[in-house]
Amino acid sequence: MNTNNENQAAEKISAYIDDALNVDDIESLFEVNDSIKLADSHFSLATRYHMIGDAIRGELSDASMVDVSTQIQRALCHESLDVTVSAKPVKKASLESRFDLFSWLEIFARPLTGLAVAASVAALMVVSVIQLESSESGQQLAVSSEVLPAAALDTLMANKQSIDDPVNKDQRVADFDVYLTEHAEFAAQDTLQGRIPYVRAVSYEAE
Amino acid sequence: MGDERSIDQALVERVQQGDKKAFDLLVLKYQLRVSKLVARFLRNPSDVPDVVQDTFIKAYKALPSFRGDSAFYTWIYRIAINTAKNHLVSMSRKSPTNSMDVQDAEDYGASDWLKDYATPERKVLADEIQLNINQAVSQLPADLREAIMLREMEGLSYEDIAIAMDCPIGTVRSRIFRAREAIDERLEPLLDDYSHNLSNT
Repeated sequence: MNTNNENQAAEKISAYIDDALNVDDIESLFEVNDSIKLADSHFSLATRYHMIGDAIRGELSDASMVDVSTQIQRALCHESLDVTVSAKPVKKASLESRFDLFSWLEIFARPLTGLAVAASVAALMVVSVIQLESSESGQQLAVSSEVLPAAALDTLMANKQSIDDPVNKDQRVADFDVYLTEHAEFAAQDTLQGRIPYVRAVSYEAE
Repeated sequence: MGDERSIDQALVERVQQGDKKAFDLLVLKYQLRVSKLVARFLRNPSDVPDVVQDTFIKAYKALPSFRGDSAFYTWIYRIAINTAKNHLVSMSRKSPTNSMDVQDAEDYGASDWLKDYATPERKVLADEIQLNINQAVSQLPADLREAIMLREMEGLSYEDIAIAMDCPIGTVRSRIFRAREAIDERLEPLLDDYSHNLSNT
């Protein structure tokens, strides 16, 4: 064993027990540890350094002479395997279980479900508020020929010609009023109700 | 210089990654402090090593769950106190300080009563160690003696000692080490003789 290295190790141990090593210096302590096998001799060295401090302060006691590092090392030789095995496989097991469907659902689907429910509730609230506002105001937009589809425009023009006919004018007006009343939900409003006439369902009958 | 907590945390993380040598360093640093703490709880000094050993083994087993919310030494001191109390219960003895806090236990002037329970051989050894260390300190060169006294008696950090002695921190580190080395040259043979006699008897 190189005496120079040993002195270097002893100096680092001396600084270490005084909390005078940087975190980076800890790495160098491990290098020392590897190269000269920081072991019983260095543990007893640290114990003696502590003892020197106690003696200088006049606090030397029986406890100052306790050195159980060797016993602890021996005990942990038997324990270490269990501890390292139990520490790492926990992570491994959790990684593997992430591929289970149930775990996957737990991890990903649960927040998405919550998000979907929240979005649905928000959408319903928006629709409700809009409907409430429109029913309270009762305002309907004037029918604009620019926004009507061609078929609806034709119907409107035909009805208008019929209404203009002086012979059946009163009857036509009454019919038109009834039509408007019965189809009020299709009227163009500033709500979603106004959109309903523009939704066209297409289906084919089976031959 | 790094603060104690960050260094300890770095070591704890290494242990959690499976590096057992990092735990050896934590043992090296704290075993004496834990021993003193445990000794304040136990009536029988001969039980101290067993309880200290149990404390560190329990800490090692529990370390994977240590998240660093508290300082490592606070955490291990709590384990030590609980282990000491459990030991007293198992030995059907009553803890002298059931409500003692960590800080209280550290501040408690325990070395005096502990000496009362020490064996005569140990008392002789302690006296001899004290005498030899005092002599060794008095024979140190002035700069080494000043550095070690500022550190051990005044509890100054290396930075503060560097300011007080008007020298670089590296020099302080070297002086403190050389002082300890010189004192250790007297101390080591004493302890070796004691261990040798103990094993013979």
